[in-house]
Amino acid sequence: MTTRIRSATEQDEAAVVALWRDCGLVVGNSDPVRDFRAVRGGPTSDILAAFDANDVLIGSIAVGYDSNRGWLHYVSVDPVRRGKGAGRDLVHAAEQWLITRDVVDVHLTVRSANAAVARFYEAIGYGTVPSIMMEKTLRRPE
Amino acid sequence: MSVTVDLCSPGDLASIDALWREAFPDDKLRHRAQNAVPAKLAFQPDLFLVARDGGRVVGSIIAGYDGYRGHINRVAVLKAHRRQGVGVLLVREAEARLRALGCTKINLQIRAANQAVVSFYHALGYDVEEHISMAKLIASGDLPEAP
Repeated sequence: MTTRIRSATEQDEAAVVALWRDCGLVVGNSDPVRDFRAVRGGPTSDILAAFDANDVLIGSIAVGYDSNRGWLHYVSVDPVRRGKGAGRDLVHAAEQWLITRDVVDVHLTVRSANAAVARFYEAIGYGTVPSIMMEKTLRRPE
Repeated sequence: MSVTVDLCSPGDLASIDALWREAFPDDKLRHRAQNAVPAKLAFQPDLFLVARDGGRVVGSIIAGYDGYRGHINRVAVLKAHRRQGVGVLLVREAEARLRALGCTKINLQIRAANQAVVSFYHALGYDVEEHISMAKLIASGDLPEAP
């Protein structure tokens, strides 16, 4: 399969957001359009998208770094296009994006309900970190 | 108590080193002050905060924004200055700065062995999320570790 991976553009927004919804990644009060616009082409983040030979979107990944480490979010492959390495290629492209920015390690979190996905990451070199994750939603700036 | 929250400056290196050695005795080399302080002062330095009592550094916090989520690391208070609200001051100021950057959600990771601090963050509005954390080393250096 010929897969081409590049940074997503504004024109990819609708397709990428639809993909995230198809993949069940839009849960709770998350706002995928806001996330796409905030992450894409940001100073410390980007969204990479994978396309097939016909320029049809296959998958996407959000990558960014804080001062401490790199992070992957919204790792998504079209459910009918899975099992052909697109996810692996997207993660690899995101890792390269981080390496060129001198990031040493990359982290991600998997929802417990989605635990089967952990096996995918283990197969491409990720290990489980014994940690407790806590989260807080911030009010919008006044 | 006259503790104030302030930006970290290069002159704080030695006192931050002492603070972190007390709070994080198992730190890997790349997380030690000599490496991490210059790195943070070069990247999002306005998210590197210290608490000062008089002139003395008694606490630290490093926030980061990856464009999607805010992160909080290196929350430390000198043992002799704990239980006086210093940590709360640091977290609140970091939250305000992340919010000003457009951040809508903060994730933080606590070492599994450090369960005791869960109640500290819970009181500040953080909830435990049932997640699996995964990590990979992508460049040479120390092995990845729990934050």
